[in-house]
Amino acid sequence: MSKKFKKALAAVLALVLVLVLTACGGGKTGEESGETVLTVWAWDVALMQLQDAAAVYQQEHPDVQFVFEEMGTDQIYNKLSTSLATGNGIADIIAIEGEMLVGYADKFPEGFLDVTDCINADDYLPSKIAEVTYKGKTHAFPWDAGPVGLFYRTDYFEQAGVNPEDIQTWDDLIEAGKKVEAVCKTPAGDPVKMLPIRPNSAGLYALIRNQFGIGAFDENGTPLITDPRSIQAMEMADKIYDSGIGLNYNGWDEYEQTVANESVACIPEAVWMIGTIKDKAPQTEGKWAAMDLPAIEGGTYSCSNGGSDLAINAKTPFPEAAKDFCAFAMSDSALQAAGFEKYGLYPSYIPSYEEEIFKTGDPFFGEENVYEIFIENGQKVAQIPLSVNTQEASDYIGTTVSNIFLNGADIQTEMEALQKELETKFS
Amino acid sequence: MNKRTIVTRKSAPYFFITPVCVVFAVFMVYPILRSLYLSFFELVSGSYEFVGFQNYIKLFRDEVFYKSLFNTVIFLVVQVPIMIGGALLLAVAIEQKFIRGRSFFRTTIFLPSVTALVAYALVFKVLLNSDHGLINYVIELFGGEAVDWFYKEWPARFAIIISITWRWLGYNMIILLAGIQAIPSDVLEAADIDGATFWNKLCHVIIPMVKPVIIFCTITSTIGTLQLFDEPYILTEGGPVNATITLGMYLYNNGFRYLKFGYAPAIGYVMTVIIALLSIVQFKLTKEEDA
Amino acid sequence: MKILKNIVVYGILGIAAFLSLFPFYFMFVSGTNTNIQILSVPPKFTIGTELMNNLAILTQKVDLLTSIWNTLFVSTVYTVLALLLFSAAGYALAKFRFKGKNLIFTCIMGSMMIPSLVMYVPLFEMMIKINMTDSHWAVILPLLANAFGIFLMRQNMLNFPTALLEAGRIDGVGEISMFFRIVLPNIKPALGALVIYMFTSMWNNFMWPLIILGSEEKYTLPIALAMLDGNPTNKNYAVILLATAIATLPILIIFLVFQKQFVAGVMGGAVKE
Repeated sequence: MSKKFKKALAAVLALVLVLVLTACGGGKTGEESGETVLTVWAWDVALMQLQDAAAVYQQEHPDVQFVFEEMGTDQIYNKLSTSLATGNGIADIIAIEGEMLVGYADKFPEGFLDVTDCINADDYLPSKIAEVTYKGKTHAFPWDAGPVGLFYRTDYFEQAGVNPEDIQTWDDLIEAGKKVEAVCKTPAGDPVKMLPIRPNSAGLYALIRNQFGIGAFDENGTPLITDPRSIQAMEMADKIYDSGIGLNYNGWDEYEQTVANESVACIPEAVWMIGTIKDKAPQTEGKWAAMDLPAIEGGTYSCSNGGSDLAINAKTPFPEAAKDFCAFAMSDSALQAAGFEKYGLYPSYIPSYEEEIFKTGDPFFGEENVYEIFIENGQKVAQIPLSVNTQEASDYIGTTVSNIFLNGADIQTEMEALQKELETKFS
Repeated sequence: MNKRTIVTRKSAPYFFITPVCVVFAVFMVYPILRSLYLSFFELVSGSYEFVGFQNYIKLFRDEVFYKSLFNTVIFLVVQVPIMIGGALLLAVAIEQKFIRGRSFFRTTIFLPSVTALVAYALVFKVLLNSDHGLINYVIELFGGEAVDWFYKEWPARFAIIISITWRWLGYNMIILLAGIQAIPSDVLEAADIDGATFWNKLCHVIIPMVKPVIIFCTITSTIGTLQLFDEPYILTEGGPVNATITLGMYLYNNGFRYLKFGYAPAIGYVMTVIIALLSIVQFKLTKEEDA
Repeated sequence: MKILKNIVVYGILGIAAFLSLFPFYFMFVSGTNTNIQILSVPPKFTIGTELMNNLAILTQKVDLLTSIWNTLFVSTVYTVLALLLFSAAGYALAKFRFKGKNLIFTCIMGSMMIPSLVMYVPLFEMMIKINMTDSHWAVILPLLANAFGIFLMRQNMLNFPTALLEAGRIDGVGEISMFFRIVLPNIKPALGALVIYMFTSMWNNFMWPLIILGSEEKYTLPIALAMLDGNPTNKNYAVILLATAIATLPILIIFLVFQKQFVAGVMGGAVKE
């Protein structure tokens, strides 16, 4: 018994020894060798686009080497949160979602390299320039944008006798939604709902509020919750929710389910949704189109959702090479157009809209050029003042929205309470 | 004197305990002190500013903190007894003499604790779907009314409770099983001869004999539940109306999403004090009963 | 009456086994289906034909072998170190009287109450100072401060017959060799329990390896899996579930191999002599 045990112990120790030795003998990177090696962190599609860009870039700059490391978005943020203070253990070039940038720019003003000199601000969508500029410093290159339009199912609309041109306002959308639900059936036999709504998030309210060109805070950081426009947006969002035309969803997976199962007739969403629709509902080819969002009275702006930027670690040993590469990758029209075609990254670099792809559209979405509305709307997105508290405020708003939508709480009282809460919290 | 006696009976314990003490001193004591220190600061524009007790004062006025404390306590008082009771029931069932395929049941029921979170989140969302979910289907089959699991406060809390119980029931069952197996068989046989019913046996023989194991499970589950993060994060993201946000999740949000590097540890230390108080109460209660 | 009871007991166990097995089964089956099949309501619950496709995408995105190897290395070294350190500490705490014993034990137990999230930022700062980021040792060492494992070993050691130790001492066995020759071989069930506990906790650990590891060739499985989940707007569930299924297999094997010891060793009272 004890002998057997000893043998086992010896075997385990030997295994550990082998593991330790092999781990120590791991390869060393050629960091000291004087070469320029740029490490890049990005997720999935963003990474592939940067790899394509690097391949082109290296033709002119064969001396610059790249190390591409795929990281999930959460992974990047968890790492930045712990290590941006020192810049240690972080890649040279980092992709970051637009709404996350301001938090890091505020907490770590020296975390990212100032790239003001590398950018011609007029070449990019104004809303994206606003997104990367904080306290007089440009913290990142604007990359892809997320102008929002209304995707709709032409076949469902036809069945229900809804003419898309008649949907001018959110009220029109409610009326059309009732017709659709009365007539149309999903492939599984359920009534078709008009649009997916996430009752636990700021989503729909923020979308309508942004049509007024305002965010959660003004430029002084004062919350705008009780602003009449914000109240009006909440009232409209609640009206839409209460009308019953929406399909509740909880989390991204259920959102994709509404597409895959063809359970909704419309999706108010950013241009990148094109990729999701094609991927998760290939059977709906030719049945989708896109138009402008329904309007709200007094709202003259459009909205955006998502999109990302490209930042450079301030502690990079190769600041010039990193800047040069990013400037190239972000402002090469052909590359930007290819990135859109291949990976659905809609450029914020305006000259790239002259490329062929933006003029032809996507046959999946029928004859008409599906991109037109997004190109148009992209220019109409307001420059909403940045605040470091946006993330947290957005969680608070989500709570208020769910209280109004799900519990039927009074809008005026809730919004006043939220205003007060945000004021004390962020004073 | 040979060289073996360098470590004498007196010095032996120090020899055995020192490595662990070193590890704890370096990797536990230092970070604790450092983050305690940081809880009196806040990161403003790249540098830490001393704010005194400000973070703690803010915390005591923070409604979301109270809500997450409330939810956590609800999870604790509802979920832990359900889970321990269920685990005990299953353990007793598996130990019934006539059961064949014990190791099959033991292994399958243990499986949830090693199932990957993504898989289980997807499955539970499908099972709990308001319109098409299997659980609502079963409820309606028995004449009940379909439940809006993720969009009403209490159902959402119960959805979380169901999923935590599912995940950790088997783990606790295995531990309780060990306790039951350690009961000398003559004790149970004696009860049988006395003609004790199943419930009599459970209440008067099994439960008293495995009490230390039950206490052990209760304490570890309590600590686990108080730090609960995974389930609300993947299933409900704390909603609706913050009905399922927990202390662990609020701590994560502040530290990693809102980047409040002083406020987050402050939450952590208030949590520690609460956990400590609860543990002391639990120990006291069990001690008094023993006496 | 007896038959009725049998049916009830089997029924309870059967339902529990089914409920436990189901998500696990779904994970494996989904790896062979398409995203669209997974997203339909209800999803497809039978084995499909997409396994090779999903596997091709998976292996192209992630170096699965490297991350399995890394996780295996980290988990094995961690488990073995934990076995040695914790059983020694548990032995000292259970079988000796010495100065500071209660203080040490209280401190160790107290550390269980502190949420680990709080400690990651200071730990990371420390690792930078001692220049140990992006190494597997930086993953392993801090997590060795694990109170539960020590507690488990102490509880097991409490039941260890002191008479055996005294007999050894009379025979002139040294204190160190007594630990290795008499104590360790006699608490195998407890060690088995510790193996499962330590190995699983490291195998599934996400947050700390994520923070400390920087380069892809050092990634452990959970981090490699998070990489697959990276695209915020279009997720590939089939590939994610396939990868998690593969990642779960080794844990399952460890459990099957050590489950007897686990059951016996979890709560002490394990010494047979």
